[in-house]
Amino acid sequence: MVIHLRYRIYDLFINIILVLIGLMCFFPMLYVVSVSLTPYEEYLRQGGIVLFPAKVTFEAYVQFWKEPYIAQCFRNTVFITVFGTMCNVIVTVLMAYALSRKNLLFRKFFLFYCLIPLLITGGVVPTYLIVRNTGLLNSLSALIIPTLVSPYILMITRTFFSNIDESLYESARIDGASEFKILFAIILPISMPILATIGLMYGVGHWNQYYASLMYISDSSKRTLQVVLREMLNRASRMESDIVVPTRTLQMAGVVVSAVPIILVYPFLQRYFTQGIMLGAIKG
Amino acid sequence: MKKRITQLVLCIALIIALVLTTACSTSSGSKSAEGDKSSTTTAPKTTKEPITITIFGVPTTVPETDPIIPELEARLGIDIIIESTGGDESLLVSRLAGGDIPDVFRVTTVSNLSSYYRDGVLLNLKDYMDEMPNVRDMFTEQQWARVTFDGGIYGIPRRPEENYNCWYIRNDWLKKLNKEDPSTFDELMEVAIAMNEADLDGNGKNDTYAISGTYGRAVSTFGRGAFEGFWTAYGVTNPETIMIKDNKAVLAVTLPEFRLATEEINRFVKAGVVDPEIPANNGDTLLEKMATGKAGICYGAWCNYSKIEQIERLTSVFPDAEWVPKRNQITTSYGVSGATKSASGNDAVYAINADLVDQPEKLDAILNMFNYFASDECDLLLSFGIEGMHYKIDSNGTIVKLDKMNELTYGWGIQFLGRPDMLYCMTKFDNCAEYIKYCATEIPIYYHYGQLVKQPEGINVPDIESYILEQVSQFIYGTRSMDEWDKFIDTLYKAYSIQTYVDAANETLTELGYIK
Repeated sequence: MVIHLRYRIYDLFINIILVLIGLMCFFPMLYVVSVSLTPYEEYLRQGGIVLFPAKVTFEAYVQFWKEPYIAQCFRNTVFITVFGTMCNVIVTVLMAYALSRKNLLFRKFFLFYCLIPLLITGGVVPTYLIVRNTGLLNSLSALIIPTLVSPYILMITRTFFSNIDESLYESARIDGASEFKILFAIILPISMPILATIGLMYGVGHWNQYYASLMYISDSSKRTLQVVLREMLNRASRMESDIVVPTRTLQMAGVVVSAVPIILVYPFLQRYFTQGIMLGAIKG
Repeated sequence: MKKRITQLVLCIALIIALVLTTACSTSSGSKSAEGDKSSTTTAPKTTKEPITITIFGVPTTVPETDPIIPELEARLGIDIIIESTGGDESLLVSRLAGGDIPDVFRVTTVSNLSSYYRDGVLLNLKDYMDEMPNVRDMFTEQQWARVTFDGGIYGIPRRPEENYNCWYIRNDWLKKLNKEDPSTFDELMEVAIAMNEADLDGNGKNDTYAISGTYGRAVSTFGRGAFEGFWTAYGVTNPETIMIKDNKAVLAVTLPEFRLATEEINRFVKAGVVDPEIPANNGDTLLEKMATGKAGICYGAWCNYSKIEQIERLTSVFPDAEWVPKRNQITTSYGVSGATKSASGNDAVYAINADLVDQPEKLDAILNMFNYFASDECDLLLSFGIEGMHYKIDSNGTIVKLDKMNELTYGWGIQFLGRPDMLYCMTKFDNCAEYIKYCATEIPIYYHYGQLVKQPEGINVPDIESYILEQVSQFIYGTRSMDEWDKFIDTLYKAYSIQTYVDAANETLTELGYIK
């Protein structure tokens, strides 16, 4: 009884801490959304602290949508996030699967080779030169191909595949399955958690793509959303006579548009994170 | 083994497919906009076939609906690719390092220009000046001096703007307090204390700091820092700047008058009338403070506080709020408060790729383009837009703004050589005409010269400036005692070797005729 009570107090304590941490994470988001929906005058009247807008207006969003090239940039960001992530996951899974197989020829060499970029990066200028010399400059592919495989994510995926029980592979081989059949019909269906995880990691990276877009894309219509947002926020500190400094509500609308879509993806992938990795994979 | 080879082949095939996709979607560049190219006026020398010229580093995004660049292309018979970077020069550095040098590029500071000159990527324009007579005649000897290294000319300057800055004050508060516009620091202190204590924003809280503003380098605040009014009243410019005193170049912070000015500000800080957040304020947060009655006296520009949209913001909470330029200048025995300004004008310059000597036709088109930029006809286009669409000229020859001109908010970014500033501002922001004229003609100007001085070997001027600004902020806010001022100056001489910098300044300014 005493132990039971002690556990309940412990649970309560943990829950209170988690709720507090949750609120700490939630309030900045609530603030950003609330400010973006509040009329600017109202925002000023409230002294800049608005948690629940008394009046709601979408004026800031309408204004944000009038920024030059915003629609194209939004489309570009969605494209590189969806298509880029697909490419990332496909290539990473293929590489990780091969590296996880103990019978791969020169396995140690390939593993070491894949580890090199984890320890040493190419640097800004050499990477720029590669992108330029491969003709990728000023195309959306420059935001996808140079980052097709992340060595860090590759290693995570490889470790996941390595930890799958060898008997699963053996039984598939006994049934006459090829390597492709094993990967796509046996391994991938039980690898949803890792696919969701790496998909999300790549997806968030693409969605937040900023520096590469700035470096490799000179055509304003091919840039990503984050670049537009940055330019808009920069304007707030410029002092040119022509510039109309964007209001805080407009800035927050920009933050919402550029952050919320990717945040909304999380709940859909959450179940894969919490799912048992090998649940039901081996029977008998 | 066979299966493994199949896997490998498939992987390679996937990568090749992706690369091919890339190649298909790659374009050689983009035009800034599509538009009507039919309109031409008295055209300058046009090239035979359209040559494509890339202008890199334009500080603003040119929207796709822009009609100005297409008009310019039509007049010059060239294609212009505008590559906007939002003013971020790190992209240029990468491109230059990678040998991918744009035809024409914007360099934000003379110090960067000098570094590119040393790298040998800039075209020496000295031998081409005869091909750009309009450009040659547009700038003064001092303005050319900024872009001159070892006798060669490596950039094209920009015309300076007029002074926009002065002290702004809540006139309605002055009336409520029954106070006169102050003309001494004691009177200013009296008004500031009254503004602090009277709860004029009526929120029942003691949350008003009469004096607010921003803080930073003179070049990055455009001379609109909160304390410009204090420093100039003591006859000195911003702490990190080089000024001329008694016919000698000096670093402003080292002057005894500067110490007196800092002590004066410190007196206001101790009285609790100076916003403690000034070093953290930016244009946006300051405007919010001004609109919500958290400040009553701010140093700034007419374009920040008097444009229609700014007035709408400043009066959104208090519709009676009346932010107006302060008419009485604060006077001390050392000077009259005014504005600081760089003697060299606007810092950013345009440079041309040195490799273009091997492409004479393209170089000729670029020189022709710049020469046209410096013509009256192009001034009208780049400043005011297209006649009949954005402006008209009345029977008196006066430029009259049409509604569409308000859409050219990005126009400043493509005014490559600057603009006839007074005419531009008075036309485009006609509601501010009175203030524009006041700031340009009635505010005393104190010039600083640091932008003309090339950074001497072994001296890091940005480091010196950062240190000075950081320390002066500490003295202002009392986190460092004024008793340590001499120690601070001593550190500047011993640890930062400012004498070398000052000597270089004396040499340059003597050569340029500023010091006799």
